[in-house]
Amino acid sequence: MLRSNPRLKLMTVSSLILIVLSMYMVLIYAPREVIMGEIQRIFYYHVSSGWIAALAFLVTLITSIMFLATQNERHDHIAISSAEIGVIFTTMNIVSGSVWARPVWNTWWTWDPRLTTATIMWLLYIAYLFLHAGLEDHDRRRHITAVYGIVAFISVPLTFMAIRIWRTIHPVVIGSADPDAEGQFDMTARMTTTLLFTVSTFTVLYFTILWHRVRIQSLFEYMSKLQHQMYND
Amino acid sequence: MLLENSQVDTSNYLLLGFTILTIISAGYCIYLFNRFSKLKQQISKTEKLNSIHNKDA
Repeated sequence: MLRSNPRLKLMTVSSLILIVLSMYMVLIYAPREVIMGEIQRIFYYHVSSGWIAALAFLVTLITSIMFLATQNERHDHIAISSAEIGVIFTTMNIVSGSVWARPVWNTWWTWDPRLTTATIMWLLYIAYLFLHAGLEDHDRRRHITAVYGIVAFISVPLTFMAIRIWRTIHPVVIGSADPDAEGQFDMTARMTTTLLFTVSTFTVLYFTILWHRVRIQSLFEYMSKLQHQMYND
Repeated sequence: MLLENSQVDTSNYLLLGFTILTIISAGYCIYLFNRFSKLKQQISKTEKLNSIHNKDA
């Protein structure tokens, strides 16, 4: 059974403090954008959640490759845990983008290349979670989902590059934007600091949640083994 | 752009966005906590059953 871990407790408390600080930075420290007004502040959480989704799916890719190479089930636990967190952060990214788009684009949703590829990525990883939960044979499940986790990652760079490859109305934070982009703005020094702070906060938060989630997955696997042992004796 | 050259108050949208983000993140944390608690309960039950089963055998 798992024992409480002081380092995990420290990370959890640090994450909570960082979230409170990031809220102060977003709501008070960062200046109000002149044209978009208050809604622009959601941008800090929108970009941060998008970054964490990409990081989470990258971790799923790496651990899936490592599982296939080593057959160590610990890598499978990290892969599924990271994919689940990635889906949650992608949901937050899509929802925050939609709420921002309503006053800025005058619509909740449009089939823009970035929005479309992000939705495909989201659905691909939801399917990954269903696949992991649906297969009963543990060994077969681990192998199939590892291969799926590698293939599904194609959608991540595609989503990132969508606003650079195709004509789009989605603003670009890093690099030059499409002339048709709606909602583009120049970042001041305080805005950049706030963005870097929220991205760092979300990164710490991601690793904290991942640690908790991997512990839960380990418990789940332990229980499955106990049940298997009991029914087979 | 809808907001161009206008001074529309968009704070309601910010509040809506933050509310939804809070619901999603809090909901996920509650889900993880419940799953952890249930698993611990199930494991202790299964371990007890297993030890009884082993004694009987």
